[in-house]
Amino acid sequence: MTFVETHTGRNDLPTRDFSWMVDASAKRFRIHTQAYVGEDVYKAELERIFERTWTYVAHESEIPTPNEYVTSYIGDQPVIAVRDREGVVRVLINRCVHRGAALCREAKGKTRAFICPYHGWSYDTSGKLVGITDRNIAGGYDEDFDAPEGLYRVPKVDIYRGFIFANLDPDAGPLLDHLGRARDIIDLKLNMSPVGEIRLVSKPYSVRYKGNWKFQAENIVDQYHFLFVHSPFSKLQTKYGESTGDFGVHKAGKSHAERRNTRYHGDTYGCSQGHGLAFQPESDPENLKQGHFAEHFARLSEKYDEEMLCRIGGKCAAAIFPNLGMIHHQIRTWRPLGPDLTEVTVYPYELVGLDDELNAGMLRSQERFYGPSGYGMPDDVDIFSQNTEGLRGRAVEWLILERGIGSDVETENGDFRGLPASEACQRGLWRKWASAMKGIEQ
Amino acid sequence: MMATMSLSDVTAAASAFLFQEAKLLDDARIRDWHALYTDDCHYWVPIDETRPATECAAIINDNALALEERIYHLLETTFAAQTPKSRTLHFITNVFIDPASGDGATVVHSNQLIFELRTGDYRQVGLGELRPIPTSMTHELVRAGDSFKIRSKTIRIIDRDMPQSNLTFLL
Ligand code: FES
Ligand SMILES: [Fe+2]
Repeated sequence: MTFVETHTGRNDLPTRDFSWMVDASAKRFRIHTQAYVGEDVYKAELERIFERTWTYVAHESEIPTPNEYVTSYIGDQPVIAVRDREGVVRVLINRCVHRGAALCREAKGKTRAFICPYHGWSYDTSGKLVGITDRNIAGGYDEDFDAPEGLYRVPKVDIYRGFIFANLDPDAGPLLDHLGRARDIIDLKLNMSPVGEIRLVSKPYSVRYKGNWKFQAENIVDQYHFLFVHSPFSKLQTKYGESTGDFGVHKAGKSHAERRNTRYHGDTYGCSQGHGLAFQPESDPENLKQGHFAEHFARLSEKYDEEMLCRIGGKCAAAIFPNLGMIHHQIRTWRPLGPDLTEVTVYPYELVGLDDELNAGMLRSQERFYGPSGYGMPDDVDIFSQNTEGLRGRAVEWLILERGIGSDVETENGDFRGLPASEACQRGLWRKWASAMKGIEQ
Repeated sequence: MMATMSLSDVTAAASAFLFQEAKLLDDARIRDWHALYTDDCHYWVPIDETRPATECAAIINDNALALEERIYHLLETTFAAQTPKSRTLHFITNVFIDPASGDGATVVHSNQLIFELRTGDYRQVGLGELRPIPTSMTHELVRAGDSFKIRSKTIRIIDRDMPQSNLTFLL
């Protein structure tokens, strides 16, 4: 038994085509209710999406030195992301290959070996089996025992600018192909740092909601809802502005029309890999010469031209298929726990090389909007429960995702560029979903 | 004046004050509750109270102005997470005065078990679920006339570094 066993397919559900749940044509884009609530759909998603797509598992700054690890999940499968003794990042299934006990019971730590609490088998941090207890005693193992090499290594692991991705599909294509245009968002976010790096320092926020994971994936790049769900926040913004810690992140606008102009600006993309991306570059470079970050942008302007500076200094957000979000100064992941239960974790990051004051300021800004007591995120997750409640009304079969469909433009690489007020981002997710959920050819 | 009181008298006075504070919360008398706080107050729900705020986010980290904003948000805006509103009930035990309390302030520790319930149509997803929130709290009380004001309130939820659901009401 080698580190990576050949996939026998015995775990697979019978082939079933779910792609009809996305009813898409030139003018039509509708999603069937079952795509959000079906137990069978959910199980198929775990196998056909989460186990065959590059998923985000951890960030390198969480395991900076050899023998440090964090636990994570690929879909619903528990993994350990560990930097081994040689410094190589491995992603291992958190399961003793003897009789299945979980090895790591802490979410984070440093160890020279993983020792199974059940019968004491031990593994080094590369996953190699280094000890079988009482191996040769009578009633132990024979000389020719077919001992496993070690823990199951997720066959594909790759890192993009510190983001560790893994893929359970040994035949998966390169990570960079999967990221595609989503790299632009990661680059813009990280290039805010003078050295182009981020670090996860704060404890994350974590919330669970009663709803499907795709609600979160759709919502993080949904400009449309902001003006409605978050209008109470805009009211706070109008009254309190910068004084309570916004740190220049949100611009209010007194009327709905004014707020609409701020919000509906820039480009959005629905990518062929399932990502939704929103770019809102700063429209007036003069604005970068004011505010908390003025000096910082002055320094960055030695490195980037004005157009790029406006892109870095503006706003952007991404839903990177299937489980990674980027917005504000945070990495967000979502973990499906069932068709109607999802865990969202928000990791505020520090920009390496930035003044402590600015990093602390961004932390206060995120405190105000995110987390279970913030003025934004709890409303989103409450809406997700409301969606779950509403979708019980299954007499209504289809949800409508046609906003702005006529303004989508297909780009040379198969992504669709849309207007910011449209649902182009969400359509990207569902196009990919439909192709992944077609069913596995046998 | 506190200096002249016995420890059991101070404990009794502080307990009575905590009960009064909790009653205002449970009766949704939000402005009266807010009036218990000093002008330099801190209302804090940490994720990790051992880490400095410069490097670790909190669930809530309100100075006096931010708390004012929170009250405004609750009373003057309509937002999804409190539509319909939560109902709470506080149960307070294990009250004791921190021996390190100085002259200026009385530091009171308590355990508070808060039950929370979203009102509205209880048959719907996300509403009508009775939720226990076990906490340990620290109040820093300063004398105001013959009662107290709250200079700081720290609320350590037992699972503060684990997934939470809606905490958009006052704890
Ligand atoms: S299950 Fe791990 S040693 Fe037996
Ligand atoms: Fe939102």
